[in-house]
Amino acid sequence: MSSVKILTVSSCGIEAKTVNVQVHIGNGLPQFTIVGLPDKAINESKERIRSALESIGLALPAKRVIVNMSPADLQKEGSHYDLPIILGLLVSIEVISADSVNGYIAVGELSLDGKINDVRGVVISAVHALSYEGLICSTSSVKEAQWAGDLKIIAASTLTQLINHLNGHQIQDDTFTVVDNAVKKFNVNFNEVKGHTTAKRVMEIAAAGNHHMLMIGAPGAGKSMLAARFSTILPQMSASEALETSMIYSVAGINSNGLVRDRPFRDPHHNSSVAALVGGGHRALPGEISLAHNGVLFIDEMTLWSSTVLNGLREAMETGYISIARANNHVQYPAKFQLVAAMNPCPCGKANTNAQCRKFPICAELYMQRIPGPILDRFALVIDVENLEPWELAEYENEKRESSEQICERVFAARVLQKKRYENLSFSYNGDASSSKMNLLCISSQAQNWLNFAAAKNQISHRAYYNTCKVARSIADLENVDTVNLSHIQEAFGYLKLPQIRKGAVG
Amino acid sequence: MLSEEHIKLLQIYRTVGIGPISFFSLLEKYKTANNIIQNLSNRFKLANLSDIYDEIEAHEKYEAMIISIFDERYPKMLKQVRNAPPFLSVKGKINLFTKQHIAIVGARNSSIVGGRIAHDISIGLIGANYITVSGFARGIDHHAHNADVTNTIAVMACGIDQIYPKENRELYKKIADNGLIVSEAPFSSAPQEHLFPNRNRIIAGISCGTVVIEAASKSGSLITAYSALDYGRDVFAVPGCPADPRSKGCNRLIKEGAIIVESADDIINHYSHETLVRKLPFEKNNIQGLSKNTNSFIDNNSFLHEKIINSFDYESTDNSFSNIDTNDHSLPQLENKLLNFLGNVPVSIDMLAHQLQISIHQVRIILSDLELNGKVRHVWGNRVCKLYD
Repeated sequence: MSSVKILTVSSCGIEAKTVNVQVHIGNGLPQFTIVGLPDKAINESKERIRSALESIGLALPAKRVIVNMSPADLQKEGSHYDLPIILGLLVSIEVISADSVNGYIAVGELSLDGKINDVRGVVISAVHALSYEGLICSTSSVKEAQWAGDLKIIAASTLTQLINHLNGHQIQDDTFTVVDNAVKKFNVNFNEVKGHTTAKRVMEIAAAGNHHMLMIGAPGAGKSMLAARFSTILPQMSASEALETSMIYSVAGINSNGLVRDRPFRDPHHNSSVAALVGGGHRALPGEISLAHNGVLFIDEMTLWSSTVLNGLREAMETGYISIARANNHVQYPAKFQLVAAMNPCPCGKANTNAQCRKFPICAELYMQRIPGPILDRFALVIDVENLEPWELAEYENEKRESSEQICERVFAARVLQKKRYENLSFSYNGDASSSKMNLLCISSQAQNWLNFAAAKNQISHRAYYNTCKVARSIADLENVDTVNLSHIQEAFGYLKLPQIRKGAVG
Repeated sequence: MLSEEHIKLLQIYRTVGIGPISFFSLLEKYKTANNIIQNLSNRFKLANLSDIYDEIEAHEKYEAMIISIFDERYPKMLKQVRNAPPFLSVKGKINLFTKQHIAIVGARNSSIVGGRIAHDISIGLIGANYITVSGFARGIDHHAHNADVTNTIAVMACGIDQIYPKENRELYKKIADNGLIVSEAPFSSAPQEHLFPNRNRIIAGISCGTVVIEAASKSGSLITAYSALDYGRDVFAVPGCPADPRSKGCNRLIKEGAIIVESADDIINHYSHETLVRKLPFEKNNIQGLSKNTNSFIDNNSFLHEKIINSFDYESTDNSFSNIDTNDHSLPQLENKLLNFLGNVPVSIDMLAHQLQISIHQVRIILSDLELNGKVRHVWGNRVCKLYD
């Protein structure tokens, strides 16, 4: 007649809630029941626990075993409940003492042979465990868990090891050296790109200020090649950014190799569903936009995406998070991503070359309309990627080309300036700046006047107006200038929209 | 190596006041150098013989040489010209003189597209075994030479060792190593205004035809074209948009009967047809009305050439001496420079930055303002074109 409590977590999005696993062994017909809204994976854990116990020479007591997970009204899912349940059982059959596990958060999945396996969401559990005694998990989860900070971790690879440790027979090393993932070596570099000066410049600005950008170009012009090099000029994430992103990756179960240090670069395929892109599904898992949090979401062939899916991006592009509401779930995931999109100018792709087909320009105009206007409006930087002719390529052969590292240095310096400027605000980069904080951008009156004139002449939206200011700010930051001058605004305005969007598709 | 007689002739030719025409009339009258020197009028102060030896030595040191019109290596076509230079400084592969030559001349402020056309025509001509000849200036000349430095002759207005304009330094080296550099001016002489028409006549004289690409209504390129006409050579012109001032000269030539050219093939076809009919292209007066067939060695009566040269307002068109600071990156200066590069054919903005050798953001800044003021228009594919009033 004993009742034992072990702690574990249930995660909702990237937030964790403490779950109390209570084990009661009472008299009655032998049975093993788990209550407290478990899902299928948890119900199946009965079999894993039974086998795991047998594998180490123990057996379930032939009594009425009830496992309750409280709060009982919270839907629980995942396989990480195996470890807290078996620990509860072990305490109640007095294999280990209650004191040894008191106040620890336990997460882990069991194998039939008594091995403890890695589970998803360890970073979240670890962060949550900071306000408790410590974390009990599998050895393979340690890399991830240790990033939570100063946390006591008990990690074992088998159940026997764990029992021996808790009983003091065989001490498990509980000090783990923090292994920083080596800086990712890119096998591409911007100094390999011939020509495309505008594209390179725009990518630098986009990277500096976190602006969304759209590239339009003929097939084979080099859009994907440029996009593949975009990651190489993004500075590494700060510690807090890395933790945020790692938590999302952890929920999605993608990352088991410690912290994500390189900015994510997600390039989902164009037939992705809304749920895959924004998140959702049965367990309201994070979608691509959340996986791209603090990084880049690359949407290739944007016109091939269904407009429903693209429209799903709208809120997140403004707010930086996404709320997923399902009948049984309501989750919020952060989704501060930078959108880099690419598309052809027309169905045959030759509109901006010299080989335009006879349907031009109407075909290009219609093609452009496949993208929802509000999405198009959100791109602060829109460029044509040139289809270089062979002689042009030859011309650029000997030009001086900057390496990714040189560009990255400038981007980093510009980002430092921005973080300082937006200290204590909800955003840290120019691209995310809210339009109510325009006064922070320090735009000279001369520049403002020019923009007002240009905006009136070209009839641009308010959002586009503010985007121009923000891009101009990033250009000034790259030059380390305090005030946004006329030249910055003029340059930024040139990237706002392409002539074909600005004035219809007449070449 | 010049013989003693030729060195004395050079001495006479270097005398101030004696040009090719008076040189040849003196030679015809007195036959030998010593005779000329004895009978030379007091008006002329004979050049110093030691200076001539110094000049020859300087040439040798510079790995260049002076060839006389009596030398068999002297270009055949040029020999036929009544005011052919009796002496030429040459540096490089002198055997380039033995082939057929076509001159390519045009605006210094050429558009990117114009430069490209010059390049393509050069490549096409060289492919058909022609040698290109041009004046080593900015713009079209530069592109014509740069297309293939091994098959090009650069005719300089200044001394053979002087590099003008300075930004062509690299091109000079390439041509000196692989092609041929020619000059009529004495060693080390600085580029001076009066030397440029002289250079133009050599360009026209060496070649069996002259192609003009982008020439304003009063420009040095037209001097070359009219010289060619004067020598009975063919004049080809690449037409342009009437709104572009750089097309005025070419279009005028076409109106006057020049052969219209779109690619090198037009030139090549012209001669392949011609060789079937007549052997030498220069024998034919193929431009109606203006053609003047002058094959005689000395023709004192022909002043047409001089007249044409004098009719040009040289100072206003040849701004080689107005000291354009190519490094002047002030905005209005750049704006003009950029507008120069544009025409009614759209060009890539990246290429614009590349050829102007300024950063892409500066180009973008200027273009933004120009577009707002209705001077340029952005078109598909990251390109811009000029809007004419």
